[in-house]
Amino acid sequence: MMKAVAGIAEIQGIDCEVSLENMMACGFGVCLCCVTPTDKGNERVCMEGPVFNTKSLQWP
Amino acid sequence: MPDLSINIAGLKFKNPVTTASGTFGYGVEFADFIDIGLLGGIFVKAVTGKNRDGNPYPRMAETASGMLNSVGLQNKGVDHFCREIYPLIRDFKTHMIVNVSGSTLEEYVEVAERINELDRIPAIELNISCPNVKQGGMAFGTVPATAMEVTKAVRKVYKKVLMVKLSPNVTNIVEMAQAVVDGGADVLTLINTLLGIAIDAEKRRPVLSTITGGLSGPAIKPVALRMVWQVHQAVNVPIIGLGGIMNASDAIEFILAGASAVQVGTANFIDPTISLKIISGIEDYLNKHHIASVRKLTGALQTE
Repeated sequence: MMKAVAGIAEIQGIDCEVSLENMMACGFGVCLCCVTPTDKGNERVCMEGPVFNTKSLQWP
Repeated sequence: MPDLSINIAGLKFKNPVTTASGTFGYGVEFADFIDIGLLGGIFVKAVTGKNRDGNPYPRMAETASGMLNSVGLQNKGVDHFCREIYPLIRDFKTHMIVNVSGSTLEEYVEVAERINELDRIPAIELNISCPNVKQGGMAFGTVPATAMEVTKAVRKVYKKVLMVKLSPNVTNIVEMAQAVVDGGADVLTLINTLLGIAIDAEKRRPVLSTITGGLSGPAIKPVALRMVWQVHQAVNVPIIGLGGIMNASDAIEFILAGASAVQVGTANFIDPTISLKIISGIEDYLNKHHIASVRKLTGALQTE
């Protein structure tokens, strides 16, 4: 759903941020389980997120 | 006041409680939550030769009394570790032990050589047991001859305390222990995670992107205890035990089975202060049982 909204925002030229919810083990940045791919590599949803600008996200 | 200090391969630890690689970052991440100088030691996240992105999400699944992980040794490589991370951790008042991993024997040797140059790192933990990488990791830790070979090669270049972390995914843990001791290991740490799968029955798909992952947490404690006990009976080097330790009583069980010290891993995710609670819990146990030193408990399991 987030991906669909990001797609619409891109077409419409609207800046878009999404709040991701990935499965977490620790929730404070040490386990590296909740990562999502971005233009900076794998970033932690619990620390670098949970809100990301859709321009930086690399949707799988 | 009971004595919590222990000596492992010439390295003095203020207490037997350390934290497991992959569960405590590089220590800095916990500095806001606890005084990490109170720990016996910290085993930092695995360092490989090159940068590794790790496995795709999903990397974890909750399972009964535990969890599966398939992180895949995500780290920025040994250059980055030496330049950027080491300066941040070198002055911590606890033993900072570096977990060394690789996909090839050459990579293990390269990383060990680089870490050998870091003054304030007293030991490395050779990771020949990670089940979540395609090459290396567990592949080295399931065949005795290969385990011995990689230990021997690292032993040549690494001059300080060499610890080797064993995989439980083997038929004969004593054979593996013997092989790495023959290769020159000073200390054995066991166990790493057990290979497992979680399935989403509604989606009819595995939960993890890599299908399999490593099982940790209370579910594996009986297996870990058994292996520590078996290895302790057979082999003469100090053992650091891990596998589902959630509290001081669990830690005491590992020590009774033959461990000189323990690592706390998965429990850190539930309570970042758990390691300190375990240290005081061990102290309470020694007081309650009128035991002067924790060293008296190593291998003290009564079997007849």
